[in-house]
Amino acid sequence: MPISLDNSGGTAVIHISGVTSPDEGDKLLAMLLENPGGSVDLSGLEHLHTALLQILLTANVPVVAWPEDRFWMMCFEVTTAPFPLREIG
Amino acid sequence: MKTVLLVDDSTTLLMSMKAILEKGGYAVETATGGDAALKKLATIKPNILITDLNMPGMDGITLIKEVKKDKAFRFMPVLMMTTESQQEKRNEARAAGATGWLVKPVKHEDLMAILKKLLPGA
Amino acid sequence: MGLSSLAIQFVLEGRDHCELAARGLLDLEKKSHDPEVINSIFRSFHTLKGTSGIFPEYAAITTLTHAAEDLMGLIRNGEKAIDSEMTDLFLAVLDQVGSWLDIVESTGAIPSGAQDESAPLITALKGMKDGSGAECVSKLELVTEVVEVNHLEPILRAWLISLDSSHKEFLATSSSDDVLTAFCYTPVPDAFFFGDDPISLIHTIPGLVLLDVVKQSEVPFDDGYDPFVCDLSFFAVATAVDEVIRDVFAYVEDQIVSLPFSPDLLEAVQTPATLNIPVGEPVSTLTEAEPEPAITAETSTKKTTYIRVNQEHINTLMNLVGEIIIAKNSLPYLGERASTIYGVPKLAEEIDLRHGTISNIVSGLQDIALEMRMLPASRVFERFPRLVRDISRKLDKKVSLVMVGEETLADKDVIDLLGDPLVHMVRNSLDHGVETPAERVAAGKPETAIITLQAFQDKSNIVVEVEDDGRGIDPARIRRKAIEKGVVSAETAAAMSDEEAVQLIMAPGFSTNDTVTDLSGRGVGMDVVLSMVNSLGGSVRAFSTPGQGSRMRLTLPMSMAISKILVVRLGECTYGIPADDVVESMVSVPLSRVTAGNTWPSLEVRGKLLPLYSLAAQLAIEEERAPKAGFSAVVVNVQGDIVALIVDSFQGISDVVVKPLASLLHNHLYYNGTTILGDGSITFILNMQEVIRNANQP
Repeated sequence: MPISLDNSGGTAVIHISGVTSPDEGDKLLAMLLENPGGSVDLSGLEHLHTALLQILLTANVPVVAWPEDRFWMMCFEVTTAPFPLREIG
Repeated sequence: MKTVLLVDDSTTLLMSMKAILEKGGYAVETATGGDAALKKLATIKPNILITDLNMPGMDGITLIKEVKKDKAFRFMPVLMMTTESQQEKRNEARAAGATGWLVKPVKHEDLMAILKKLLPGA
Repeated sequence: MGLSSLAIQFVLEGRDHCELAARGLLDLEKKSHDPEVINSIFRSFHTLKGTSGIFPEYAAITTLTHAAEDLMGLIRNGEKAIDSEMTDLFLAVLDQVGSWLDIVESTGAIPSGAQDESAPLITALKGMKDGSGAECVSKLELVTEVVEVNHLEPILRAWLISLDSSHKEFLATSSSDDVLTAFCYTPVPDAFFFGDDPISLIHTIPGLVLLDVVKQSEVPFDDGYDPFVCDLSFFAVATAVDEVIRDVFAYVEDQIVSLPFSPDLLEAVQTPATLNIPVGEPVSTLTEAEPEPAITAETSTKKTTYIRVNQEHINTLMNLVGEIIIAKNSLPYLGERASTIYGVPKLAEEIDLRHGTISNIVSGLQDIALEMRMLPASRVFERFPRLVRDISRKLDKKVSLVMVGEETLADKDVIDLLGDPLVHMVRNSLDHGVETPAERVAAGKPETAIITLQAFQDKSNIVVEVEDDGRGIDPARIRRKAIEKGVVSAETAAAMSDEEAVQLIMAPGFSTNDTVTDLSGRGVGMDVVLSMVNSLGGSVRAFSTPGQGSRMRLTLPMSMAISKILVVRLGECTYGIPADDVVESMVSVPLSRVTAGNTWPSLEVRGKLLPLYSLAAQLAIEEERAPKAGFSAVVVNVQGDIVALIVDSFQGISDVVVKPLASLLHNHLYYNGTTILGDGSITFILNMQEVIRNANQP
């Protein structure tokens, strides 16, 4: 399973590995909501679907381990302040 | 291995593309029309659907609309094959839920490059 | 800058024509077949075509405006009738040309893909010209996509500019060795349902050097969060040529924009934005409906002279003027010290004399510096004809927009900041104020509603009003809603006058409509407008006659930079009262002029009894206490409310530079900002409207 929950260490760690699909979005969302203060381990990740990336960014959850491909780290680094793209209001 | 469901009324085309795709490391299932494709879909659960636009019976756009109605396939990428002269149909396909299009005759390397983009990690 | 003066002229003039033609098109919707208006639109396209033809590198503009001119020519000759679809198309053409002009101005060149970009517009124009109506509709859909692409380019530029200096340095060095292309990809919200996986596309781009994944809105992360609405934007730079990037995004080309790095782009990213400064004639006064007949030769010699000045320089000039005012204000203190401490009264006199001379020069300098930053309200108004047209069409309401006082000047910052609150207010009018044509007819009103946008100067403020002749605001309904939403208690609501009750629409958490429409997105409401305006030292007031319409009045300081204040003393501290609010200051007031009242004492001033409050008590510095014999008071008039405020003493009138307030002060509502006086002390500038509002509330 690409997404699994590890509660053995006291705090929840969500492991995301392999190639993910948006169908796993609901599951990841539920895990994060049920385990506030948890973290994410991406060490075995091959591909993170944008829907899941978006969930992790919105949840602002700490990533404790990165995959080999540095690209995924770049997705989480914040280089500038958010830009309002769509009109709000 | 990722599975491609290929739909076209021309068997010649199905065969030639199947060969290309299998060489590229994909599993390929084929259907010669929209109705046949819908029947196969449920059992083989493909990772991507590639369909022709003009087919007797159910056309490509109707097929896409039908497929997208199924929750299990709501996120599945769909490519539509068109000819050069059917550019307007691309917007129609996009509106129906297609991810993109392929222009016939489909070039080997184009097809591989597009699948790599749409099916990451394969 | 790299742009020749001829090119600058072309850009400025081109913009005028775009705006003129857009205005004409909107006018035409009201009074179709007005040959004068049609002619003027035709001429604008003709001129755009002719003048762009001078520059071979702007061929895309020539081609596009040529096609528009051809279709407009048929309309002018009566061979075709203009309909709203054509109007949409012409407006899209003008938007396209306008965005190219912006790019030409900032980079000196037109994007390389411009011809391709405008191809759908040209096809649609030709389609309409040849009368293939059905086809035109599908082409139009293409057109709107093209227009949206252009919205992304300024955002991408802004992102590049916002990068921190280490990234910029990195890009500057990389660009000398490699081809660099920046791009911005904003997937549609339902992208996932199209099988799109945006990050996967980006992953396949070779040589990605910078990536910024940005959430577009602040969505709370809770049970209601929908993970399948794509709300991300991707900003990136890669060492790849533009074609490679475009190829990757072939299926979503309407959602991306890319910019190859050129020396010009690098320069634009490194240097701050520039501002156009009008010399002599004020900037575009297109208020008059009848433009003078413009023939190509005539327009190109139009006498509006502009020089381009780096906006940084103007800001520095403003700051220096601020500093010199503070330095100048120290002279009277110096004079006083010369006389009282050093015992040289003669020197004190000399200093006073020089102070006068320097004051004159400084005030001249200040006027010029302020004027340089002044822009007409038309700059913020110009978007409204289009906005009102588009929204009223969506809502199936008939609305005619009247704009008055577009020439009213205010500081560039103020003008820029006016935009958002005004859009909000106009949308509110369209959404909630204006009735449907059927409702209007039933109420005995003309089908077409009128929304008036009016700007005028009031003392040192700019006032902008949005008025509609719609259903108005029902105070009873507002009270009920406010109680329901817990904004006020039932007792408070009942004690309020109708006029006060109407102001509740701006209370936080209040929204007049139960159904949230997608147009004004009523998640946020008028309270946002109010707090935005308050933070700028302005105010908003709502007026309404139920059944007849409503009016929102927005008051903002014309210039946020320098204001005249009356400095008053309360105990050890000094406070500044904006001089505009002051009617008179009174010293040694005998107690015989004070009448005790039920709640407050009153002060008799020129035969009138004014409420008399202690300013210190209002600011919660001390308890309210009775005035002592020979007290000092200042009479202020804030939007018609006249009251007298007891102060300890006066320290005189001063020109000061107002600094915005650090927002941590707990009762900051009363303060507009701070300033440094001539003696170096810090003073709070009071927001008299808030002070008085509080005083009047029992």
